Amino acid sequence: MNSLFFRLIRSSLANRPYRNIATVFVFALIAATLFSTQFLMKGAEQSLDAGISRMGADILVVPEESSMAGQSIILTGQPTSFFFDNSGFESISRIPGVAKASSQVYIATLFASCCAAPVQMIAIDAKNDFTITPWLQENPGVKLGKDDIIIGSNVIQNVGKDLMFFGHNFHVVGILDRTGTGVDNSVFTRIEDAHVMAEESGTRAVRKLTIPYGMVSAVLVKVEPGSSPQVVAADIEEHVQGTKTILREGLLHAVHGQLVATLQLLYGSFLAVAIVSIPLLGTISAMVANERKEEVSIFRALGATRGFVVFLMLAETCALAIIGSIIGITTAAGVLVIYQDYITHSLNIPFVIPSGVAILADGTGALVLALGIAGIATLYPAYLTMRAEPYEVIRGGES
Amino acid sequence: MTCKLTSGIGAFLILLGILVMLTPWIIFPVCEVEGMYLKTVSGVQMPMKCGWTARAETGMGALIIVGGGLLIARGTPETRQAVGVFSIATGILVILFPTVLIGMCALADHPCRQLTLPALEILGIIVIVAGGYLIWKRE
Amino acid sequence: MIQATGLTKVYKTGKSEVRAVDGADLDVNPREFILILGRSGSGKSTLLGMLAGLIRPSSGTVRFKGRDIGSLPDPAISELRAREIGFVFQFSGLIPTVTVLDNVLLPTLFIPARPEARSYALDLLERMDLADRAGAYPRTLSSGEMKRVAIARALINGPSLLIADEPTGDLDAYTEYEIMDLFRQLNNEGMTIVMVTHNPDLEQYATRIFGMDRGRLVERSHVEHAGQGVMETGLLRYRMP
Repeated sequence: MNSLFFRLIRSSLANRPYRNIATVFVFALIAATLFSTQFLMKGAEQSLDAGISRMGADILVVPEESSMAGQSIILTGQPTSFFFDNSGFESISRIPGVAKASSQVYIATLFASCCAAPVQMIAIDAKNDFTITPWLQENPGVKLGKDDIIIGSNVIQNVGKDLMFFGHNFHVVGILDRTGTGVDNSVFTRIEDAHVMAEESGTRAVRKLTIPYGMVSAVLVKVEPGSSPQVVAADIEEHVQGTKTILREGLLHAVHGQLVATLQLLYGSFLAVAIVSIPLLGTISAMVANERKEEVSIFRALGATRGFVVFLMLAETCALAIIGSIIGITTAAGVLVIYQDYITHSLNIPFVIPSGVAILADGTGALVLALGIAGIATLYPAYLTMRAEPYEVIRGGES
Repeated sequence: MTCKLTSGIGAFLILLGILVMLTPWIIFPVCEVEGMYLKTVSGVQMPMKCGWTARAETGMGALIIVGGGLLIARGTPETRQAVGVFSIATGILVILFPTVLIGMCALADHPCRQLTLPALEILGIIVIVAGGYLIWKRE
Repeated sequence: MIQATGLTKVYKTGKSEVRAVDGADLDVNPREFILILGRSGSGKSTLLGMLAGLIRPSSGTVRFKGRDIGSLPDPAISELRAREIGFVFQFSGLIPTVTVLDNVLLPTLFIPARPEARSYALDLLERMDLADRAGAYPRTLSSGEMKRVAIARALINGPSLLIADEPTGDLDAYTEYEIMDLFRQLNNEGMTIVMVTHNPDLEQYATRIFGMDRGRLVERSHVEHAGQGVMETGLLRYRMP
């Protein structure tokens, strides 16, 4: 196709600005709604994956009565404290299929800073921990020693500075990457330091903290390769009384449940827009084709085939589809990125901006769909063009 | 560019300026409007960062209104170019104040971060786009 | 070049029938300038449309250089029109949204691309005294200028036949003769022309004159122009290969 063809398209589009703006707007809306839906879904899934892999566990074992609280620690970081007997830890470690087990203590704190908000403290057993240890291995300069803490990305402090919990000073030695889950609102320290903090809290803190010795909040379990987490989890619940297991799939399910209403709304909007737009675009294209009967007849008289004329109409509609899709996708992406905090909190879902590859894939999908709709919308005007006797129009009815 | 279109963009800039002024106080109010203050060691209450950003944005909004008024009063190509450049600069500042220059509260669930900040970012982008359009179509 | 035999076109409107063209026979030989005279509604434009393959006849055949165009599929007829036939409409038929140069180049879209097309287009505009208007848009041209652009467009692909449907119908007398002089020059250079008009004063330009009345075609006279050689007017000097 030479440049004259593109100049023809450009001049034709510039000639009907209002109608073309309306068409571009429709395509922008189609692309934006589809893109937004995929963006939110992928963002939630990637966030959950990041959060769960940060925890490092396949199964989380919590007291039966605290399973909801256990879920919310991971999903939203709603701080909580609960405990059960650590003797269960030995039993859990012996269950077939369990590769590693590590206990953790969860403490809800009152984080004293200018913008006070509760932060989840997670005290780990450094001997068998596999949650923070991998991160420490990735960051070899960082050591979790006495009174050291590693903080999530939402906790406000810099490395090298101190944070106080229950009157006890901790030194920040590392900041985790953002996961979009509750891990971002958590701080990690050693169990022994947590116990010291609890003992001293009677004299130093506003409120006395009690961490019963021999009690933990959760046991994290990593299963052996080849073992099924579901089977191991069922075994654990059967053999260790008073426990409940939380699995990755269960968390995903919980997140999807929260997302479902929003996703249904978005997919519904997208379908409604797509269904309405096809006849609307078809009507606009037919109107334009009718106005251009004379121009089409001239092309035909000069030697254009019917196929060329249809191709020209299709190219014009596709050009509008591409412009509209780019506008719609960039606007949607911009708004979603700018409003990500609001989305996360109002929908109560974990969310992180999807990877570049995912965004590109979503954008391409939305664009391809818009082009498909452009093609369908051009079918009717193309049919009219194929049927018409061109010279009748040029003559203007005169014989 | 026609006289009508120039005046229209001027009016649009005035509207944007008003929105920038009103957003942190009325439309999506910052923390101090919701009663959240910073307490110093001696017990004195002070606005948090978002409060200072809100005050700065009030000034920026006023400047944008002035730009829009200038455009309505005198829509020559030179004025359009000047107001265009001015709008791009003010738009950039509208975005920089709550993000880099002063900032907002760090906690993600504060209203200033969830609602005020995104609204100001979007308004800033629109002001920049309006300014860019004025420069592009200055003749 | 063209042999039309028994051409008939019938339009059905409701229960009645209109015979726009009724059994027309026409042989067009190379280098002839054929003028078809008739009043409005006589069927001359319909006849032209059938000769160019734009209107399917109800009966009869049209052979172009020996090929029966009625039997050709649409792509083949379109290619024939693009390569062999230059068309000039009654109104100039320029596309208002593209420049004069792009209007002249339009027919080149329908044949394989030729790199020399642009310079040939500029040459044609030069010969039409419109080289300085190449970047202008049709709405800034006078009707005579637009007609000359239309003629340049008709010539861009180096056709062997020029078909003109009332090309001077919307022009004043002075411009009309200007355009007719141009046609005469082209014919003297070897272009075959078939033209329809309702103006009998233009008979002087033609080598053969036909009359058309209520769909029937009748030859009226056959004129041998003296000195019918190629005049060096240079209009077709750069005919496309």
